[in-house]
Amino acid sequence: MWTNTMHRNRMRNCNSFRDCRTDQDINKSIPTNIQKSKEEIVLLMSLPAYDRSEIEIKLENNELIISTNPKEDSSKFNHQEFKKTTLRRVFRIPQSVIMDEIQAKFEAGILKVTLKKVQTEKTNINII
Amino acid sequence: MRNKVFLPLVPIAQEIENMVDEFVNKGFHDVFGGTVWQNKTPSANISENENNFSIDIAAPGLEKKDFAINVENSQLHVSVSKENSEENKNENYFRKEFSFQSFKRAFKLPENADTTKITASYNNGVLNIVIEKKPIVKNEKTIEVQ
Repeated sequence: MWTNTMHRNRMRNCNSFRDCRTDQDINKSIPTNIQKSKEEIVLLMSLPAYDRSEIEIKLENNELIISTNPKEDSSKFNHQEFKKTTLRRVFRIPQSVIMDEIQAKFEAGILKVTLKKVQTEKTNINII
Repeated sequence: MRNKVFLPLVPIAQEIENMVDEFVNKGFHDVFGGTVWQNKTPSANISENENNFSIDIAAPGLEKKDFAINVENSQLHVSVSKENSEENKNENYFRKEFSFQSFKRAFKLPENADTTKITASYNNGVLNIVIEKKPIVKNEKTIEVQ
């Protein structure tokens, strides 16, 4: 059940590094694995059968938008379980990410987006 | 009268698999109202033309050498088992919505599939298996009236 409370919670969650999907978007979403470490955040998105040219990555304000726009495909199947479609997923990027150093690589049907984080140095202040 | 002798190439245990897929692939809502996806069994598309059968299996993030393909009793088995690889152990997942590191799928081959002529290639995360068709040997005999 999709309740207003849940929706509010979801939107609140959006401020951290989470995706900003609503319930309707889920079928058009891209399955994503997220790895986090002190240095970086890595997104691994499952996009089998897509060509590099059919994938678009955009950065708007502090949102990372990944979408697909597949070419017309006339192949006919006797039995079909997957199909290339128009997909879209939006991630809100946390402030700790260095926006100019976002990298993307597409290999073996996996889109890998690497987001480097700002390394804050700890300085100890001695009390005199 | 059986004119259509050959059954089409089909995935085995489709009903059972679909039941599992329903649960596994479509995900379920977690307590926070988000959706947890668990894509573990790759999807397959099957097509057929005059000369061959073709199976496409969508299993991204793997390498050619990860796949084991074999034919047993006119069944085609495709499997991957990488679950315990070093690479997997070190990864620190914050969220995991898919994993094709370990799976098995089987397909029942029709009688006219030539099991000695099977080729496979891996491209853009899709494993394509082509099985050539055997020419149909007609079991016909003309009997002369004496």
